[in-house]
Amino acid sequence: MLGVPEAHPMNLHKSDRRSFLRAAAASAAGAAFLPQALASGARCQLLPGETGKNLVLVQLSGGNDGLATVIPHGDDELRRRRRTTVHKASEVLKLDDYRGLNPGLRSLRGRFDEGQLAIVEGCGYPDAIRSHFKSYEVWHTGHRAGRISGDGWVGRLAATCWADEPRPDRVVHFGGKAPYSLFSREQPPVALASPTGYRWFGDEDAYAQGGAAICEHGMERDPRHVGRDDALQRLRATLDDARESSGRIRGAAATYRTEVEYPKTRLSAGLRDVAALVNARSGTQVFSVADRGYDTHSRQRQAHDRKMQDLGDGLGAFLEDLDRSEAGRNTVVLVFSEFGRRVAENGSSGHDHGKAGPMFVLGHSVKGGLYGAHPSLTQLDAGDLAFTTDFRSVYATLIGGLFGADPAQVLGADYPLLPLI
Amino acid sequence: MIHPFHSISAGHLLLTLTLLGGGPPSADTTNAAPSGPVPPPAAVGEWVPGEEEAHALPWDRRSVEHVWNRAGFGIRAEDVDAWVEAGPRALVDHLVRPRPSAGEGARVPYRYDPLPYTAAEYSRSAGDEKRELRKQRNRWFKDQFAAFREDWVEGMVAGEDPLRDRMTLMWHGVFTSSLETVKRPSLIIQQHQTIRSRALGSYSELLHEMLQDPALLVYLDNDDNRKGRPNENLAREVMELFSLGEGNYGEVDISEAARSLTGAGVASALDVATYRFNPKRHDDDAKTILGVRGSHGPADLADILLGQPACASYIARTVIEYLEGVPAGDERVEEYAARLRETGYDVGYLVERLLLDPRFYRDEVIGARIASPIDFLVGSAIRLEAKLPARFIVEAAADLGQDLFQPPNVKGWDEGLAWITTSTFMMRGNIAGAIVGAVDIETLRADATDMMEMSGAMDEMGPMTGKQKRRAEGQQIKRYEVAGLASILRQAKYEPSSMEARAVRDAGASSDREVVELLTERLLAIEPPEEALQMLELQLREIREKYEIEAADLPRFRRKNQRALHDFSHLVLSLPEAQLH
Repeated sequence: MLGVPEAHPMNLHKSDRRSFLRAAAASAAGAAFLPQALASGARCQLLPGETGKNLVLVQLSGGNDGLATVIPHGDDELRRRRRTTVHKASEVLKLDDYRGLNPGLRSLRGRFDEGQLAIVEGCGYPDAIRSHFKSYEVWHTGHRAGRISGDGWVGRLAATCWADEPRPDRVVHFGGKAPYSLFSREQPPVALASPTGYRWFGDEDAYAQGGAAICEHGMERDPRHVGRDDALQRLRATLDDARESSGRIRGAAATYRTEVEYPKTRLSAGLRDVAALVNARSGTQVFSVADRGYDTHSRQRQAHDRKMQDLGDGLGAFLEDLDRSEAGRNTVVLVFSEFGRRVAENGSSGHDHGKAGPMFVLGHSVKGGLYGAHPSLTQLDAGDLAFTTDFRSVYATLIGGLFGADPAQVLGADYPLLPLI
Repeated sequence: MIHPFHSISAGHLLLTLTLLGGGPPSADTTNAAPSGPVPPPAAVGEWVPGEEEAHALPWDRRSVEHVWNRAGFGIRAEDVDAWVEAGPRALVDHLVRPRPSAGEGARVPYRYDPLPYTAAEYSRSAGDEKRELRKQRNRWFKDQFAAFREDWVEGMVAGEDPLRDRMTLMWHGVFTSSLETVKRPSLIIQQHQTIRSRALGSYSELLHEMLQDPALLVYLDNDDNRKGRPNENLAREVMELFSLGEGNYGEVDISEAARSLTGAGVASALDVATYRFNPKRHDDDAKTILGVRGSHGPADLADILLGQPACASYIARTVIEYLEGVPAGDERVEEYAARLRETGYDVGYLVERLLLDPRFYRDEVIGARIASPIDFLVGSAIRLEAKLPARFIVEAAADLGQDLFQPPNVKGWDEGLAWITTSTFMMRGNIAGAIVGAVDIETLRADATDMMEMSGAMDEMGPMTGKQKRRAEGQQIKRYEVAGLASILRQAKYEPSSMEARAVRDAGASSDREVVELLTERLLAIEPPEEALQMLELQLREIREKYEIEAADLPRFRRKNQRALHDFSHLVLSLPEAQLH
């Protein structure tokens, strides 16, 4: 923005590039005007649209206790280590002689039987960090170094797959602030609390003038204002993104009708909005919702069971809703958390921060079953479950399997793929 | 002239905005003896910290506004010149050592009123009576917490002790606790008072006191941390977030620190609690924390942390980056960390040096910080002279992601661009619209009707009576985030400020360009770029045409002009330029 726009869109800020593209498309010689990098077409095999796949990320913030989610009821060590937080074997929704699901996850048990739930056990990464924030940085970027490594993994996916057709609502987070996984300097996500209020109430044409289009009024390039102008550049792009996505998202949510009854929780409200957008085929490809309350340092049993119930009921309604349409059946849900919890309980009937935990991958396109390996309860990594599957294998599988992108390009390294798509 | 150090009485629900902070020093107060926890300035002739830097500072309107934005919550445009005249030393003195407000109407710190019944009465009660007492308690907690938060926000807008408020807000993002977990507001209020009293004092004392703070101990489960059954929550966060930063300790240090914190809990009586150290629960055996061996307790842990080189660096970086809003270089951090160590962690001194440091005024820093929701709301209230109900500011800040005393997690709030999403960006504009009276319940009702027509909901419901239609709209309106805020204003019979029309009248501004320059100066915390002024000039012309106002009639103080200028303010405060300070 600070420079005079030159005729090379890749050097420009996204919004400028967007207006550049609009201008180019408007001109008859538009195609000839486009440099090779932009004219070469999509870099991903699957094009967005009706046959494309969607991904829904469900983040369980606080460190979900994997051993109370996929419960190794057949392991006596579990009862020895967990006197007050363990479930009775009779309560567990058994998947086999060794493991079963938390009683709150009844709906997921059904999906498992139908072959639509892949449980990837023992997910983690080498030299795990027990800090919420640092560990989330690893999960969100796919890099051990965290944010220093750059954008979030979904942000890099978006930059890899949809750079040619930028639109602000390719990636949408429902429920306030978006997690870092979606962060991208080039393609920032849309994050919103409720679709209904997702607009600016006033003369929208006037508002639009405050975005990147303001550059058309002439530019001031005073070095005294370098800090301000850098910040303005980002904020103007946000204004453009907000304005562009507002009509589309509000329209989809307002016209959405479903017979499915969702539970009255924040998580479910977000999932219902996701279903509305999926079914509207609005062009959003990655959705994100987050739930919190998983940091169960004390009196875990009751608190965690309630979270599991909310999760099970919410996902149950959501999946039922998605069953109804082709776009819905093309949607895959990924459930994850920043770490599992300590095997042994602490002095407060809770569990402190731990390491490995399970991930869930759900949907009609998923080959259900058990993946990875359940970590040993006796051969521990400093008191924690040792990971058996690198979580980035799951990302890599989805990056390639759903979007046809090169996982190594997005994640910066190769990880073994899992046959779950 | 308005007396800048005057104050409003505690518990007053509407902000009395004629009494604004940020005013220049007036003759009757400059000679008043400063007081407060910070020592008085040195006598003439003695070396005063930062004296030599003060002469080297670029001192103009931009610098003055910058200091008020960062060290306070903003300043009215008309108060800026007096501070340009007074100079940097006078302004920094005013901020670091504010004059006490004395006499009638002086603000007093918010005090928690204990429940009107005793623990004994509560435990004697049964059945319906107990249920009634419990209901009374919940109401009591809710009201006290609301009054407490509103009181603090009123203080920010009144601008009586802006730097202390600013630093208190920063520390609440470091030593976090959340009412959601702590439940009893008395604990949060107690923590706030401790933090406030130490906000510009010794970090060393603050750290020691926080390890005995009931709210923090409850928030991080240390009440359950006992010998043989340690709970690591507090031990981890105290190292990672409150003192050293990640990477400056090992996992063993955490488990050993957790043992040193065993037994540090609270003694509760119904709605209040005090610190209690239970020796029976304390693990007195030897531990090694960061290489120091001994039978450490909580105070020893604090001393070990304070003795770590990383501690001063972490605190220096936290303060510099919070106030400057851009990453601080390692060399600079070390320079300030050294000062912290030399002064026994005197944060007031650190901040004073920072405000007199020419690097605080560099071009990368000025106007580049994203205003947090509190910055945006309190700053707008100050600049607009809007008599907003404090409750509005508290609730609006929460809607924008800054829920006071209920941070999203133990790390507090992420500052900077993290505040801005497409959603909060538009929401800020809508809130600004409510503040200037351009967005109200009627605006939302009209939009709700449009949405219902668009969705076909009207057809599905069949023919409706006027009453049914309004009820359906009411349901729809509840889903608008800004609706709750608009209702707060309606209930308070809030009238938008006429600051804009008065300013235009007083200046006799009769061209679009003049009005744009005048009002952007009044409304914004930063200098807007030329392209924004040009755009606004065109927009103002359109607004004028809509209201059928000739340029020559702009200075007329009448209803039509006020409304037009409110629409203009709404647009200005919705722009990217209004999110910076």
